[in-house]
Amino acid sequence: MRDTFIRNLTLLAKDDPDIFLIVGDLGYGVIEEFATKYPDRFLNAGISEQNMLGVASGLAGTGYKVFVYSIANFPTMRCLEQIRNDVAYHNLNVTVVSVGAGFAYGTLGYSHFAIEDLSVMRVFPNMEVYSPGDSHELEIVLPYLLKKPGPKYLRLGKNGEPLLDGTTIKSPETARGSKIGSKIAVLSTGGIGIEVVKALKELSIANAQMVSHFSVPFFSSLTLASIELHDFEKIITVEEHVLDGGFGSYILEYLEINQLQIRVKRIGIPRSFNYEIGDQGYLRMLAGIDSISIKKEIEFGLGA
Amino acid sequence: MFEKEKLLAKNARCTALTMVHSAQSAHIGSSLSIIDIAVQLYSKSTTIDGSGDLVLISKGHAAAGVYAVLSCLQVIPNEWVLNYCKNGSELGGHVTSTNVPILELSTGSLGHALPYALGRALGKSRLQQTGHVYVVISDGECNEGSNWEAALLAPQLNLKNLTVIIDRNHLQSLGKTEETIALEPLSEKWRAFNWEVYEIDGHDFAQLSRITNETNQTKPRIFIANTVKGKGVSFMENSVLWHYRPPNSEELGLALKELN
Repeated sequence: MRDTFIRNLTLLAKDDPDIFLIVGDLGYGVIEEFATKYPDRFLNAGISEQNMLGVASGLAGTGYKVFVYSIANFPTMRCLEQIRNDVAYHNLNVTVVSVGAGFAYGTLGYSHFAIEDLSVMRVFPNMEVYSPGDSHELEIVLPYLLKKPGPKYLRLGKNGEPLLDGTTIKSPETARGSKIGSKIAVLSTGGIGIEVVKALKELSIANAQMVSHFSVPFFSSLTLASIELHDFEKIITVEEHVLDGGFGSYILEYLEINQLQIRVKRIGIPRSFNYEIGDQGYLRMLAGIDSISIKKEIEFGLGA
Repeated sequence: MFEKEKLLAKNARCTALTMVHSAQSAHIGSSLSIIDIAVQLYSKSTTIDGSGDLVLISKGHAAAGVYAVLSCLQVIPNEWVLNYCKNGSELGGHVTSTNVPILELSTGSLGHALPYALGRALGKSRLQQTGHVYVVISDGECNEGSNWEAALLAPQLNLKNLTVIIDRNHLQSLGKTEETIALEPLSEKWRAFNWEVYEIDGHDFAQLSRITNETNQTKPRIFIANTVKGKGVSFMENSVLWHYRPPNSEELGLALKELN
């Protein structure tokens, strides 16, 4: 997703002279083309995230559409008050881009896990949250969010993630997926969607026909409304993020706001520190958010 | 010399005292400290006529002082000042741009405006826009790491349109700056970060005028403006108490009498 992001941003920057890219001393081998083509709209702010977000706000205050690119928690938690006070409160056109959603940085450990970012970023007024499931969704999200004037958070996987499937969407205002069965709607956000796809493939044909999977690239009521959740008996949410305040919580809030009574099971990371070392697949398995855990939960929901 | 500025500053001090008394709010000491700097910046830069200069106030708690100056310059209506910090009023206890767009950045948490100023100065320079970016920070605020992140980056970006003014009143919330986290040698610190550094008397308009008159910068510039917290009211000067305490009626009377 990282390469897709930069490639598309570089393309969009050709026709949009307001696009400005700031990186936090990260992006080796990724950002060079943008930096070379548009040196006047590029800045390496160094290893100083608070200042980076302040500078981004000032550039946005001057009229630029600013993208701040860094990894994991660095462009969110490390400079959270700058996002709150400078970006969100002043409704500035800054898109915070974090690469390495969930356990993507695996063996690099907890400092590099972005597993609380959705909860944190989605509480700010004006802030829109985008969490594409693969590079296709990202390609749809990017030109869309470029038209939005306010603050945005773009949560990306790392690189080389597979496409969820061959389906497409035309806008982030539509969830990706189609209604197959109406017993269970599995809703996922971000790259963890591939674990849902794997789980569905492992189901018996009869079971699979009772389940529908939707990938949600944009935390918006429009996107959720496109799923028509009232048609389903149960919802299972899947996220590579702690359960508290994350995607599943967002869905629960949506149901409450719309006064929909549907059973919900949330699959996410327990809110406890895990000191194990391993790659993304291993950590997903330990957290119970891998395809095997998801399959079990679907089968339980189907009463199978 | 500078009679107009001195009169503006005196009127602003009286206004700020009245505001803080009426609202029973804090930070009169910081407000009195910043007023001469604010008078210089808002009356001499081209911020108000819209031709491109920008003044940012990082020490947002000096709001009463800043609003008082803007009121004396007739940028904000007098009624707003009279309602300062009242429920439903236009002006609150920290610098807020919502109703006063020329302030541009709302502050109150320290260490925010200098990084923002860098972005504005960089944006102006990349877009070849005219106008200078001035940002006022406090000395206690130099405890904030974000300011030093910005201090490192500004010379790297060769920003010639950025000027910082430190309101160097030597006091922070619980005591003297030098007894809290010592800042001295402050000039040398900024000079070592590759800034143009000048020390001035922050209450002397002959010296303050250099901030807006001498704009031939070759790199980012900082004026360390030595000031007195509570300036102009003898019993408020150099006292931490008046970081918090609003004057009662009797004290307000004494203060206004002293200023007049």
